[in-house]
Amino acid sequence: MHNLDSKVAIIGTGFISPQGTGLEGFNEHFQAENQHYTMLEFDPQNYLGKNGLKFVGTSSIMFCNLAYQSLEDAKLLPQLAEHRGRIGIYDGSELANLEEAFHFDISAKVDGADHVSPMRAPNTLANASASYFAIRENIVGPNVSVCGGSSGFVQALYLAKLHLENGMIDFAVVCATDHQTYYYDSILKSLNPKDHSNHTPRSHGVSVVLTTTPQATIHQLKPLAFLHDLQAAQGIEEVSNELLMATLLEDLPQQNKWEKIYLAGLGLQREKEVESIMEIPVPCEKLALQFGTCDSTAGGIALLTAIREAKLKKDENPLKTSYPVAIGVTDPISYMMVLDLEVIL
Amino acid sequence: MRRVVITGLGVVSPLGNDLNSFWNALIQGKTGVSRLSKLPADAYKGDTLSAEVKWESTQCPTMKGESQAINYAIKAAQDCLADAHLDHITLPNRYAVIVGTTSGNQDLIERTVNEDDICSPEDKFSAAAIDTLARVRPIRLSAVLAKTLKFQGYNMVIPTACAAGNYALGTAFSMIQSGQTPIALAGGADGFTRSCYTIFYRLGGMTYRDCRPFDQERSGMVVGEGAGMLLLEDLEHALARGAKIYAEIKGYGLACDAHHRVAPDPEGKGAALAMQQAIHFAGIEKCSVDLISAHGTGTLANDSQEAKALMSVFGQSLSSIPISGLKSMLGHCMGAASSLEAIAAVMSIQEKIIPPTINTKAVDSAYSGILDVIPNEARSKGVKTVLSNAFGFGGNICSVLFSQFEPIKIANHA
Repeated sequence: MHNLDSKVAIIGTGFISPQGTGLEGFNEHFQAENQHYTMLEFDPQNYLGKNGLKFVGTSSIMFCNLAYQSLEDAKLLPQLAEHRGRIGIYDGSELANLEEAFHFDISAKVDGADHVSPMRAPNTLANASASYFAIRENIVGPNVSVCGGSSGFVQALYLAKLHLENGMIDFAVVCATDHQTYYYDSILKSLNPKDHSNHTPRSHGVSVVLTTTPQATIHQLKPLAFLHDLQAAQGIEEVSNELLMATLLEDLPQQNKWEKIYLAGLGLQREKEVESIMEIPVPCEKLALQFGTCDSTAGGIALLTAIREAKLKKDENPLKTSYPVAIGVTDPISYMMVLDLEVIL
Repeated sequence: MRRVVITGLGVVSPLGNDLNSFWNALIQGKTGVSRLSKLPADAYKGDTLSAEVKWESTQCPTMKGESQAINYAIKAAQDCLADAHLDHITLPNRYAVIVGTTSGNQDLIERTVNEDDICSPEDKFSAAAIDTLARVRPIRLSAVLAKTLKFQGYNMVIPTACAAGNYALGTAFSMIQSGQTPIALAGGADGFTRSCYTIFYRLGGMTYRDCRPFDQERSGMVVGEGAGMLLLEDLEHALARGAKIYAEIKGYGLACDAHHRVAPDPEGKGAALAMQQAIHFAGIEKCSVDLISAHGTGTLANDSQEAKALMSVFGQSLSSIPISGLKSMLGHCMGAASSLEAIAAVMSIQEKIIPPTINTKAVDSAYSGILDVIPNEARSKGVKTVLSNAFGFGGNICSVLFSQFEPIKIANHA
């Protein structure tokens, strides 16, 4: 059970987008003059290999690559076998199986039930990605997929933190992917038909590895950031998402320490309104436009942005030891989550 | 550590759409399985069976445009809150809604494919179809529920296939135990879909006759649908408002087979791990388990691995623990399956009756004499602790432990 002195720490990250892979690829979004929109390689490090790609959905390919990347970044790959019952795998992707669900059903309708490929059946299920990675790496700990809309990544972080704190696991791999397809684009259009020009969907994904501070110490793993607190709210009345987000942020205990609040997700348009409602003087910033539409990945991309900016601040001030921030994500259905994060420098 | 109790139950199922009809049908050994009517039967070879919800009998207004799963979940949730006498929801609150599902809002995808006559991945949607697609996002399953009930805290959908209902219960349990919320509505919901039926048809999992868990002559499972919702509550909160307490959740275990995308580990290692973890988490002795609610799909692959897992966890004592296989009556209600089985487990504790496993005539010789599968007639027996198993594609596994509620014992220091 939970040791009160223990914190939940991020010890590794992964990223994939048309712009590049890993933190280097992430930084490319800020530095490159031209942004790329089409993903050419969903498994850039060839983690799965050709055989691994057979009959596996695109989101699962991205998921496996991300999970592999973040475990490598956390320096946990050599120890996977030792921890296989104490690692949880978490997927916070909202519509990872959408393309496969459409294709399978179209085939069932047009070709007939006797002609659909049973090999494609697993891809129609929303838990396909996390379970496929567990099969690949023989990880027998908790395997959890969760749908939280634009809060998906943060929702998955929450469940992983819950399991780390109740002693179920020692390590967690948390990923989310957004996969651009005609079907996904149509859903985005349906969510906000008047504002579709602002959506530039593209495929991308983000992952982190979590552990507790005692485990990090035992295994000599360096924390990149601490997850102090998470909260969620469902808007049910005629209250704007901006007002509800401000209220939720102000409920978090460490608000006076924050240097910035990163806001993301498809459900919140006016970040400056959140800033003006909040009593504490902290700047609110939306995700950089270069990332295009961030849905399930929104919280993860905000988190990587915070880690990147923390490093820039360290360059400016070498004596700086941490960068405390908040992340807020909002879904169009007015479901939102906030995360109190402290990046370690 | 906070204790978590169950104070309300709500049901939409092939055996009835309220708690009483559901429970009475179970203990009378009735079946919810009949001929397939929600899909064209001639699209499938052989005898086509299904376990369908008779929604019309509820006379509930259907939420226009929303999926079957959302409609089922809302009905079950409203009944659950009424059963818990939670008539007035105080605002603001941090109450949570956790819904497990296999197919989520997949029926809306199928509605789009049918109504727009989509015949190829290259076909484009009409404006009306795009309107329908606005409701496909899985998060709606919990968020629409939360909005309807005015639950303002966490809500989430856990799509871990056929184990999803138990996952939702376990997650809600942890959230209450950690002090996140005093109340969480948790369960599972799934509507009938062409994709789901076709998947099991193509994988050869469906029976041509009836569902006979653990029987020598089992031939497979029956695809079903429904919703089961349970109100989980912090014990102190429940006592303070004078709630009726059905049972307590003691713990749960999560594991992954890590074996195959649609087949369980033949040795049942993941299942055994989840059961052991649930028992460990609950801090009880395994000998105190006096009823096992099996996943029991009636397929050879499931029954065999579940029996092996049970034998490895309980050893010789297994033969003295009754096992119920409710899918023989309910069919396999997918994400709703384990939440409906949880409701039955709680009712067994309350009513001291164990529902039968119908159709099973002779237990498979591989574990005959070891598994006490209650055949055809309900058994009267006091039940204090139930272990309920749920296994899903991808090897996702969750076992939950329900226990008779024992009031707080106050130590006498005098």
